[in-house]
Amino acid sequence: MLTNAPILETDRLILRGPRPDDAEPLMDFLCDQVRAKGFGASDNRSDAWRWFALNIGHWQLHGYGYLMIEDKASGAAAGITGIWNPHGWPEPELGWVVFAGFEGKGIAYEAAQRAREWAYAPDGLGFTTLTSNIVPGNTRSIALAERLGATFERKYQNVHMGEDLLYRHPGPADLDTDGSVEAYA
Amino acid sequence: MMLANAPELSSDRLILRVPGAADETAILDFLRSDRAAFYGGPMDLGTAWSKFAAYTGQWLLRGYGMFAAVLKSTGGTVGLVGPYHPTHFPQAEMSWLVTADNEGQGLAREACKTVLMHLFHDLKWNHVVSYIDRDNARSRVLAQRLGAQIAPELIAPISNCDTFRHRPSETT
Repeated sequence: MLTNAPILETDRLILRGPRPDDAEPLMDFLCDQVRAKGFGASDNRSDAWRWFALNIGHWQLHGYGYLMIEDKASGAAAGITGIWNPHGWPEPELGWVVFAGFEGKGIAYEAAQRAREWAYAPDGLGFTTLTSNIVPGNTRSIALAERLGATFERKYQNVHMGEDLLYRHPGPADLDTDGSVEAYA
Repeated sequence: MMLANAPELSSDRLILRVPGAADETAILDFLRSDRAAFYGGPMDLGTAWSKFAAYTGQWLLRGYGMFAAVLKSTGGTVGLVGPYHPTHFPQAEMSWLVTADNEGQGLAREACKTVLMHLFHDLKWNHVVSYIDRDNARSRVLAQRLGAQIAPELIAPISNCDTFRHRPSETT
C-alpha cells in the first residue's frame, strides 16, 4: 500500500514497506523497555502505535523510512531497518533493530547492509553519505556499525536521546558492488 | 501519491487528498501557533513534524484518515479535515484544523461537509463523533452548523470535551 517502498531481498530476508499487520510485533518491541532502550522505547502501546504511524508518515513526507525485515523462512517480522530523518535529526541515518528471538544470527548486519545499498543506489535513494546515531554504551550497535565499516565522527545532542554518537558510513564509492566493505576492512 | 487506494474528494472550492510534503509548512505553522491550543499545542517544530507525520501515517493503518484540504484556485493548504483515530480513542473522531489565513470564508464547513458525506455514503458509516473542548467556541459553532448534536452518554476520551455526534440524516 506504500507504493514507493521498495522490496529488497537478501539470502535470508525480505525488506519491505510497513503493513498494518506489522503493528503488533513492532509495538511489542517498542514497549520492551530493555530491548528498545537504545532505539527510544515507548511508554505504552498507544505511543508505540503512534510511532508506527509516524514511520509511515515519514515515508509519505520524505519518500523513505524504516522497512520491515521479514524472515523468509518463517514469514515473521524480525525487525526494522531503513533511513530515518525526522525534524531535528542532524542528517539521514541508517538504523536497525532486531526483535526478540532473532538476535545473534547476523540478521541486523544482513538487513542494514542491504538497506544501505538501496540508499546509495542511483535507482534507489541516490544518497552519497550516511550516518548512524548510537547512544553511548550501546556496544552491540557500535560493533555492528563498525562491522559495516562506519567510523566514529563526533558526539552531538539528539533531540530525543540526549548525548549521542554519530558514526559515518563509507560512501558508495568505498563499497564493493555487493554493498560489503569486507575487502577494505 | 505514495499511499495507494486513498480517495480524493472535491467540493466547490477545495480538493481533499492524503496529506503530503506540500502541506508541511502550513500544518507545522499551525501546530506551532497558539491556534493549536486545542490540538496539544503550541508545540516545537520536531513535535509538530512528528504529529503531522503520524496524522498522515494513520491512513495506512486504518484505511482512513485526515485529508489535506487544498484550495482549487491557488493550491494552498487550508488545513486538515477528517477522521482521526489513535488507539486511545474508542472510535474515529471527525476532526478539523484550519490555518489562520483561511478562516472566515466557510472553508472549514465546506471541507467538513464533503468529508462527512464521504464517510456516510462511500464508507457507509452510520455516525461519527467529534470531541470538542468546552472552551473551543469556534469549533462548537461549526459542529452545530454541520448538524451535530451533543451526545452526553458518550464520554469523551479528552478532558474538558463534549462528544458531538454527526448523523447522516442530520448533516447540513
